[in-house]
Amino acid sequence: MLRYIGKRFLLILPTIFVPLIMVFLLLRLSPGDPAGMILGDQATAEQIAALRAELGLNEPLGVQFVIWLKNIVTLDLGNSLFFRDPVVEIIPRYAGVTVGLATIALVLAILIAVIAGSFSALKRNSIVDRSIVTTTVLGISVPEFWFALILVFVFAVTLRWLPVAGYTPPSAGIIAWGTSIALPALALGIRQSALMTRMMRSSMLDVLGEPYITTARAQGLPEHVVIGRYAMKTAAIPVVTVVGLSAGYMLGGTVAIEIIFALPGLGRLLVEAVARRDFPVVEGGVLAISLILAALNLIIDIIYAIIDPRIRYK
Amino acid sequence: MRIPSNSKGAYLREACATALVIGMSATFAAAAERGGTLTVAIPQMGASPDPVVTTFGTNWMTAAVACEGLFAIDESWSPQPMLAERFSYNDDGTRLTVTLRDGITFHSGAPLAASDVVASLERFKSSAGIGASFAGVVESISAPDDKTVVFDLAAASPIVPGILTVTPSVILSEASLNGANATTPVEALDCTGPYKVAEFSPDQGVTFERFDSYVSRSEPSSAEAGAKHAWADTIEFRLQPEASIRRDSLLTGEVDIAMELPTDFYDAVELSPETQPVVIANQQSLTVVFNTQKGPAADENLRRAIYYALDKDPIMLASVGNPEFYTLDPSWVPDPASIWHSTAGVPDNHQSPNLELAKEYLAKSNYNGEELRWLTATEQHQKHYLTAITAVQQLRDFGLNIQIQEMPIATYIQQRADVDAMDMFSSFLPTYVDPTSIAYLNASYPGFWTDQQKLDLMDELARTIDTDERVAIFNRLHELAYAQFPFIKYGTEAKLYAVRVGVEGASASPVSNIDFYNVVPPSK
Repeated sequence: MLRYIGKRFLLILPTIFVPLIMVFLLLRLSPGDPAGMILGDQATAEQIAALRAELGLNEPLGVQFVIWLKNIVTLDLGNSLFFRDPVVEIIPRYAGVTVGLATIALVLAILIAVIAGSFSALKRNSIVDRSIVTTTVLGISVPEFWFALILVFVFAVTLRWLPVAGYTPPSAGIIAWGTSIALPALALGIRQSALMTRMMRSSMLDVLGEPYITTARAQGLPEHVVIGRYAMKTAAIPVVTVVGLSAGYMLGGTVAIEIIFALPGLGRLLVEAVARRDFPVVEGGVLAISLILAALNLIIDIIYAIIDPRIRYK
Repeated sequence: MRIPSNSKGAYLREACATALVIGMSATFAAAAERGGTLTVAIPQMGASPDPVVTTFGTNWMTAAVACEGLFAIDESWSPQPMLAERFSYNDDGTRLTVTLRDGITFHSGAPLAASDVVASLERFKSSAGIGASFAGVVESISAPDDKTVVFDLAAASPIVPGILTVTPSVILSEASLNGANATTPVEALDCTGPYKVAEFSPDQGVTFERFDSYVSRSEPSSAEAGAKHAWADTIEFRLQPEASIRRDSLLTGEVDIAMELPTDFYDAVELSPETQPVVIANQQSLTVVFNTQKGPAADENLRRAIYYALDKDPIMLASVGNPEFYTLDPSWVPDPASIWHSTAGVPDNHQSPNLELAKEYLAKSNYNGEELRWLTATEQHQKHYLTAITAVQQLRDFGLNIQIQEMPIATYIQQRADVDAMDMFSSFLPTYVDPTSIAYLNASYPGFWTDQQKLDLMDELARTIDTDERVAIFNRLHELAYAQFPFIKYGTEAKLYAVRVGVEGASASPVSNIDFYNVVPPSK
């Protein structure tokens, strides 16, 4: 098992460094000047040129790359060109919001998927099954931002149960935090729950047709044991794959949700950092997302190995 | 449908009525009680509250509430003393002496001294934008004593008080400027305004608390000048980039004021019994600026042809979406309340195209079907792209070859500054306190209008002291622009924001609608 984890760990390094190098090059080769964005649209060319020199943006690309690489290896991500704070302090502040949001959304999505997917498979071809399948098609087809606006209209504007927007940190109270994160998490989780529900249903249908399930039933085992102990464990393997993919997707998908609900998360920070060409923040954000994704994939791989021991021997 | 420039719709009439209500602010001021929290949804905020480090006006909101300058602007766009008690020029107009008010303290408790003013304005002088204009006029700033600041000017100039009304010229304590320069922000704003910044959270919002030691001026409030009442105990800015979320937050009572709403939302806030719209008429001009130095657009006759070929009403309608929210007023200075509002040199029937004349000028030009590159910024889709796409369609029908290049604002700012990379770009122009501050008239501003006659007039405008003479010079400048067309104005747009019922004193003046210190929150 340790050897298996070690191998997977080594594969993480290119997952992190390749996107980082691409981001470094793309940012510097694409048009758009951080100095112009800092000084604003009334600054003259001379003032912009002076700030570029001050920020070290006039160095040749190769020199900038060597300096950047040395800093990355020593975990010195530099200071934000706009906030002026160290990137290593900024990123965790924003990443905490995004990880919290994505985790709640993922848990919601898994809960909905396991219950609805299993139920749908067990009631195959019934009205309930068809209703769930239709709902999931709708869920997959509609983008998150639309869900977000509908949820706001229903739960915030019409019913007034939840706030329209804004973020309350967990330190201000878990209920206040939950209230502020409920609608964004629901908006983010609905689409993924639809995807996972379909996968769970399909997987359960396959497993329920397996001979060992028939054998278990023939031995007179209660249905909840057949489903809970035998069918669901096997059916979970493809769902775990989707959960891993969904987790990665959610980290990216939070951008629109964070903008709509005015959440100070990593997605919004990254989009704004790209728009204002805040190179160190973009690079730090990409590094953080790469690390989170790599960690997620490692966890998924380990879960695979636990669920299905054959995998670790391959 | 063509809207005459002097015809304003019901919404704009309502704006005037709102302005009247604002004008009667003294009535409610006498009855209002201090207290409560005023919550404001804002669409954007800067990474730092320091206004000196950027020329983006949208990033100045925090400082506009917490800080004050030597002068402030009133509803007629005239500079009035704020931290200054009085000011005077010497006989030849080359030295401005400002005496500071007594009893003023910073939020830190330190008393305001002339050395704080010198330190703040030296920093402002080395900043971009209007700071550079200030540096061009002022040779040195000195403090002969604790209450006196002396500005020695490069030449006689009346524009210094006007320049010192802009937010980046606010006065911070000298101690708080430690380590900060024109591009490095201060760690916190230590100012003299009626509210102090209790918390500044980038990408979330700002919380202000009333500054109990604030000493208000005694004159009636007028835009940013005069008395500042500080009605609310606390003011909260909440960043909500999405316009529909700002509207919904207002409708549900989560915020008291929702800033910068699209005009499409007028009905929603008007029909709700709990909210009311505030229309700011004559907010800003929508324009296209030409590259007057290089490329096909450097040809004056081509620019004239473009002006006469454009039908401005559909362009404004495409951008604003509702004819009630714009006029086709031709003045560069959009607010008629300003003494600089002008119609000098505007051709007859400005609102309508004159295709015969356009063809004549096109024939006189050297244009041979070359592609004209028209830049627009993605982030300004409504003001930039929607005006451009409508104008380009008209100009293509007229026979010009124009390509719109839409790009992120970072690229737009970089590319429009490159004389080889653009022929024209979409833009907008608010009212400035003094025409010498108008960005388009700066020779190094993209567009690069460096005509000698214009430079001479600008020089004359900067040196002339008498206001009537200055207005006459500006009218000649306005006339010149309507002969050479370094830029073309389509019209003037209004701006919409909305408040909860019970909010009093919300300003409908284009001079300033962020004077939240004079707004009374609703009782809850």
